[in-house]
Amino acid sequence: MNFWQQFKRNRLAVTMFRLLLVLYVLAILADFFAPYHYDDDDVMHAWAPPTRIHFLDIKQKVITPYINPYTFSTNEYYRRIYSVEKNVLIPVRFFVKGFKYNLLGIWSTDIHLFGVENGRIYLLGADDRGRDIFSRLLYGSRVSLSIGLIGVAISFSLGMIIGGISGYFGGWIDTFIMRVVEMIMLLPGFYFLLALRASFPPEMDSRQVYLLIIVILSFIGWASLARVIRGMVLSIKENEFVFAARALGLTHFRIITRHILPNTFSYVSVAICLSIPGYIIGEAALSFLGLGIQEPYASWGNMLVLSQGIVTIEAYPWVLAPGVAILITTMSFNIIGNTLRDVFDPKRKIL
Amino acid sequence: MKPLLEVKDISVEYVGEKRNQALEKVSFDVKSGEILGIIGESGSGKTTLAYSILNLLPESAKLKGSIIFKGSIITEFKENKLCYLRGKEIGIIPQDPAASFNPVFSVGYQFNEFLKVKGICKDAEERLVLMEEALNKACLWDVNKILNSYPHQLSGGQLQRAMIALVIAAKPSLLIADEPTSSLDVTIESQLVHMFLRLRDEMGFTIIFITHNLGLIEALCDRVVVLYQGQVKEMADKASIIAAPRDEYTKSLVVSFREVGE
Repeated sequence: MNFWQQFKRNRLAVTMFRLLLVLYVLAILADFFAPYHYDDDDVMHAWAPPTRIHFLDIKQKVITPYINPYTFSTNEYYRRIYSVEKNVLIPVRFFVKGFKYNLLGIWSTDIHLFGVENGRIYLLGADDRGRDIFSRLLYGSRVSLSIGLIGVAISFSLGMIIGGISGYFGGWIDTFIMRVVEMIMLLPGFYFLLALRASFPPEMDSRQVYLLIIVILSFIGWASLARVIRGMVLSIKENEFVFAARALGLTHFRIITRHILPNTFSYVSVAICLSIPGYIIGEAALSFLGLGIQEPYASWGNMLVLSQGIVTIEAYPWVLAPGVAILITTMSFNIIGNTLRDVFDPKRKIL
Repeated sequence: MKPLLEVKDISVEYVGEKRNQALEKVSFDVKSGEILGIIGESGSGKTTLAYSILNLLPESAKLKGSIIFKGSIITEFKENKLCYLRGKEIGIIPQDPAASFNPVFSVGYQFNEFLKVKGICKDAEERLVLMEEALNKACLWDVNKILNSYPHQLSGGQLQRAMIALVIAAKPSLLIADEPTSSLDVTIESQLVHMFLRLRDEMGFTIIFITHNLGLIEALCDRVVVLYQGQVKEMADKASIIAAPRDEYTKSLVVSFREVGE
């Protein structure tokens, strides 16, 4: 039984894998799927609840989907109480014109998957400034989903190369690298992250902050991986094929990168899946504390800032949507990682 | 004519907790276009000798003496210059060729990589032809199957022949074969003996053939070096060694070979 067949036997992992694919497609095409720009606010709809989409008219006949517009009154605490105007129907249209954007950075267009021509549609409700949480969630997923991949790409390439060199050459190189690794591993990750972020100006551009977070997270992340890889390389390099590669005149660098490291891929692919959630949560935590991505840009972390108070959560529970998104994403990666580990583990092979 | 390879007073000592003199003042030379046999029992230093020619010994081994290949003293070469020689100028068939393929890549991938990296053949299609020729020479006929298989999908004997094909495809000036037929059955062994002879006769290969089997020496080699406990006991033509061994160890070797033969 080959690798994919074994992976497919785990229905949950396959479902999670498909779910992640959908999330990544949504993130890449966020402009198209989002009805509003991430900074498109409307104070008349602050804290608006999720919009109900109707498919049946009053006589229970199927018509084009429509929504009812909101009106609100304020209660004795000056909190808005939204209600809908039942007699006004606003049809939900597909492929409508909205704000201009560049699809995939290439085609300039203003077509969006869905939207309404007058009034506003809030699939997941609105935040304190009347911005669409659904749209912001899509834009935020760009940050949260990519930060894991890029961070893992940087820290794993660093960790594998450095761990590979350390294990392959041994001797004083190994001793030196391992002491450095231990020093980095000694740093308490999250506090180090806070300290490093604090040492940069707080009013940095969000794009720079994004890069900074990636660099900081990868800088902490590579050390423990390098240590594991080094241990694996120590045993792999004793194999006959490594000696043969040397005898046939391949260079050390080529032997490490093309012959030894590929033999660690089964471990590495598991470790990648299990460490991506760390990056997603790391970014969310920083942004939640106001040190990461800044308003008006969206990230799942800074969207969660709204749900800091229990009163807000009680009154507007839809502000927790980014939290659910984080939960689903990190859980998917963990489940896929666990399944990969089972698939790669030779002792658990079902014959 | 100058010999292709001259080995002068090579001594190898393994240092560490237990000092171990693996080779002691070994000297011999290899002429261009001949097959030189090196025979000796296990532990006599045959493999150490093969590895010391290309400086592939572990760090615990200390090498003394000099090795001259094509007029240059390669024992003084830096690592990157040696790296260039390995595979391209001096090919070595490792002792356990079946384990010498990386388990995560197909045989064809590794074969192709070797030819590409060593700059033996630049063109991708020519490489395919070259691989096919080499595999055929090493008595492997089902070329596509071999090239597309991963090492665990092939038998030890197939892998061994594939490794031999890989090494000879580079057409090295000197081929060192370290017990290359040890895990093959007799019919294939005899085919490979013919292959080595053809390589010498038709393509002018120079071969150092290391074995513990006097029968192979008899079938293949022009001259023989007898190694015993790290020392060269005798070095002469094949015929004179088998007909009239002078050294005590060689005598016992020839006698036991005859006894088994009868």
